[in-house]
Amino acid sequence: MNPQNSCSISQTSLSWCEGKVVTPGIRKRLYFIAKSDIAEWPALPRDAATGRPLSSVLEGSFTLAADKYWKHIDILVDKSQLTSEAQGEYPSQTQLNKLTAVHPDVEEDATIGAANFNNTDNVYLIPTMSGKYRVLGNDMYQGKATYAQDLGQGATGTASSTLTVEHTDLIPAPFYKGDIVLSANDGDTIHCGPEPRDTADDMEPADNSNPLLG
Amino acid sequence: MDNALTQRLQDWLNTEADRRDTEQGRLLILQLTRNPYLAANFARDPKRFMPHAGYQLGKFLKLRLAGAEHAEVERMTRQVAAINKADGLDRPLPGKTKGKAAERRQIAKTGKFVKGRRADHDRLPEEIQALWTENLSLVQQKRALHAQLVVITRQAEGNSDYCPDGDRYPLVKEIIELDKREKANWEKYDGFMG
Repeated sequence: MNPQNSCSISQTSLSWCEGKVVTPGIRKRLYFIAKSDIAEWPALPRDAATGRPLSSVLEGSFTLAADKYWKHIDILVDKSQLTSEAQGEYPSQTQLNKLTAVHPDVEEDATIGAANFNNTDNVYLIPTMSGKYRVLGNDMYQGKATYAQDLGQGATGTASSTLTVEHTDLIPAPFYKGDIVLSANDGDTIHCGPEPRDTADDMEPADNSNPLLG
Repeated sequence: MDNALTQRLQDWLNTEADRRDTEQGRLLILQLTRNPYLAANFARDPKRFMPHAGYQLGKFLKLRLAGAEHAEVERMTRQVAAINKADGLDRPLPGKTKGKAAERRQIAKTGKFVKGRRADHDRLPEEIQALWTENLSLVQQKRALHAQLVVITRQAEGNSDYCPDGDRYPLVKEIIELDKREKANWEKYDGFMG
């Protein structure tokens, strides 16, 4: 059989429950690390035959190079956002994911902070209001980051440093449920996955007999 | 430095080559050498690449252990510096400079005021009195060791090829142990209620 005729596309329905609240915005602390410090990437599940993404959730965790850890940048949530737009032509359409992160400071640390982003290809982990993490950056395409600083104008102006990142991906910023290792200490790792399942449903069937009542 | 990683590396290298975990080895190669080709080759044919992987990772272990030792010696050296600041190990003894050693011994014998000596010293049990005597000797030992440490530090200052960690380590370790013993002795001596 001609292989061209055997390919099939898996598609899924998109449901939405009436009344479900979709909280907009991103949270105030982002994490980043240079791609060169990533030893192994979590994988985006893809169809082996077509390369089509099968899930928006990355499988696994980032494994970092020895003695390397995620760094953070605090941002103003009201002025920062993560967006995604389509780019390219059929059959090479991809998503251009964009992050605008406004850091409120313009002092020494915020100024040398530009060196973290200029000429460095980074990956960013962005926490959403629903408590999940989205990933900006992958091992396929190179990202582009710019860092601007504005000291404000006059007494009523606003000073800030703005990080803008653009990164091509196959889908809008995928979800991450692995670990974020912030230091060598055991307690300094964020586990992005679901909480350990210790609800009543997962426990052994309860023994309802009360020993006091016999 | 990530000590857990160093431990993982050491455990892996200490395991017999044919019993080493391949996935663990692949990850270690990626994390330490950052060489994805070696990691891929190793995962594909671990038996063939095991000697090379072992050699490469062994180099990292050596470096990391030296780094860990350096950090440990630095930490202990800071501890000794604090002891020195409190006890003045590098200050000359007052009796020595004034030539009053004999006088000091005499004061100790006659029970007149001596720093750190209880007024009822002579009435204390022998074992408690011995703590005070022992402390005099401990202080002397600490001072002697500290003097050696100062010499090593001066040698290291003028010679960038000389790594003094190995020579410093036994000295700082001994000073810290002597200091702990001295403090414990003082506690027992001062706190003795009869």
